[in-house]
Amino acid sequence: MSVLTSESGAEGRDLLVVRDLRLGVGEGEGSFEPVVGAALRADRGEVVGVVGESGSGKSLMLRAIAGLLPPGVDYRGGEVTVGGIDVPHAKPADLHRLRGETVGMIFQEPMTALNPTMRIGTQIAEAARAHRDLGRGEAKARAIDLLGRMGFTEPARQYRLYPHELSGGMRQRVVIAIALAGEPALLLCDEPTTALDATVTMRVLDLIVGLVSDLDIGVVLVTHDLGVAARICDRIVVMYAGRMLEEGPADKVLRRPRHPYTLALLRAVPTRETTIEELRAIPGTPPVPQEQLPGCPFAPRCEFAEDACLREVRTVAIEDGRTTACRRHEVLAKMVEGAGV
Amino acid sequence: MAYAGFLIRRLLQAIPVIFGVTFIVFWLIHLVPGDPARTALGLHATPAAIAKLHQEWGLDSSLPAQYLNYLGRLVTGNLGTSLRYQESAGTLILERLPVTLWLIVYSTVLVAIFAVPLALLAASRPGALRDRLVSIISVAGLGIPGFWLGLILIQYFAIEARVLPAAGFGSGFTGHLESMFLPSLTIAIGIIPMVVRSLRAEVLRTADLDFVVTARSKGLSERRIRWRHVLRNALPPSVTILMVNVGFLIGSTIVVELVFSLGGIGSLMINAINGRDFPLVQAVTLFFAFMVIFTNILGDLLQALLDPRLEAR
Repeated sequence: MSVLTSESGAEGRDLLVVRDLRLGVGEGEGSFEPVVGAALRADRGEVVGVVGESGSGKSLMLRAIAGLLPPGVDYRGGEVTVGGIDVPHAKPADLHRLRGETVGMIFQEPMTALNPTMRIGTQIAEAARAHRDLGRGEAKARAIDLLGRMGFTEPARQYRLYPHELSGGMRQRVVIAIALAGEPALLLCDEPTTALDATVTMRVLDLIVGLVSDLDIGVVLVTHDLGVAARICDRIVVMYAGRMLEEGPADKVLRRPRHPYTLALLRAVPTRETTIEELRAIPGTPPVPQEQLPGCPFAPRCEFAEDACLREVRTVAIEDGRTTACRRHEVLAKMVEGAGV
Repeated sequence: MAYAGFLIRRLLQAIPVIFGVTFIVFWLIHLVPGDPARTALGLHATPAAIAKLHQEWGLDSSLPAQYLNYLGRLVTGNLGTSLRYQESAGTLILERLPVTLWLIVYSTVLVAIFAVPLALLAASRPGALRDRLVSIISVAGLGIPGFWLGLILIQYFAIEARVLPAAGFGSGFTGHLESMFLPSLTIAIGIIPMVVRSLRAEVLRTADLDFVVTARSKGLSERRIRWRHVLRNALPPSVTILMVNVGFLIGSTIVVELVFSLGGIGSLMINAINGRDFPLVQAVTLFFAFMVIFTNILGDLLQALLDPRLEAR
């Protein structure tokens, strides 16, 4: 049953391994954990999608991978290993090597992710110089090369532009060029297309997919957009309330979900055929991270829930190298196979 | 270059302000009740002398005509003739300009030298001891009157420690650098707190912006992030604060020039006021006003140089 999962786990050669990650905010009374037991792995040559609604802890987990937790958030337990670096316990020198050289990061808001007072070329060049002993000229040549690869038509001239002279899509390409400048093995993308319009989104996604094959890098893509995930991801991890609920190959997870939350997400996606009446919003609201339930965090909103769900939650391996945190996944499977999604 | 266009636009915008200033300066003399010529010459002047000045200043013509006449003189570079020195006010100002310019530029440089590290120090750990120390020092600096501080500095550095001159302009570049240090420091200490406060707040605000996370994700050193990304973007608003204060500073040179016996434009102003030398008061006031306008334009230009987004506007 759990062939694939245990195998890759035993190999231990994954580029990225996140296991039982817990992140905490604050100390003492008001302290809480927005991420409890997140898990993820990624390797070169694959795109792993992390989907979930806002507040599910997916962006925070991504920040934790790069050692870029916002002030006030800290590691409370579990494992984050990237390219052999133990991120939560890394020394400053290792973190310096991790950022840019091992992982590159792309952010949600291209409008604010760039330094407004620095030429875009300089911003790319300094990222290239941060890890390699490049002269100014070499770094500039590298930046111009990257701009060209990102689809800038006159990179040598556009090198001198400032961020405010570019459109959102162009800025996001600059952010991607910055992330690639240090030749990282892993690209972390935090909702890279949320701020972009539909046609630009497609082009940026195609660009990212192209990089995976061209440069043989791994990509972790955090998104709340199942359409985006379906388009480019090889594997998908579904997160909810700071926890991993389901994981598996993208087509399998999206066609035959093995967790009621994934099913509910899929039903909430509008398609060309659905009418507004057919769209099913998920009843209830996500739990606030301050109130940790002992059982499945989705149980209070789940149509499949039974009493046991409220007491305990356990992640189990199922067929096709998939895992799910739903104890009633077999019931769900029968229903999904019978009716289709 | 785009900056040239920016500068020209900014200079054109200054024209109405310049007109307003000349208007106010012109009216100053007429604000005093009675005949300006009599006021200027004092109670014991002979009627003949008064009549002569009256005619010289063209006080018989209408006020608008007088104003136009005044403007006409200004355009030809004639700022009027000092009653006391019997010399062109313009020449008197030019003679004393180096001292005052030194004072202004030197103290501005000192403000920058002290304010930037202090603000970075305070912002490096908000709420920590160093932050509170900086804010205490700032409040103290803000509260100390300039003339008193000047006297204290003279007492300790010039009279007791004998490391710096107590008065005078000195000679040669290094001489000026030495002699003008205490007076410039006196002025700078009054301005540093305002710049530190604004820069500290701006550094903290900027440090939270997204592009700083981008910079960190590149694996840059904290030092480069602090100087090239955070400080660089935090500077423009503080430069405005600094330049506005340089405007005020022009006024405070009067007190400091007196304390340190400097023969600058500030002391020229005091002599002119004491001597009821109206043409000279007018000329110096006009000069100070122009200096303020000029520093404001310079401030805007610096802003545009620091923030490429402004250049486009």
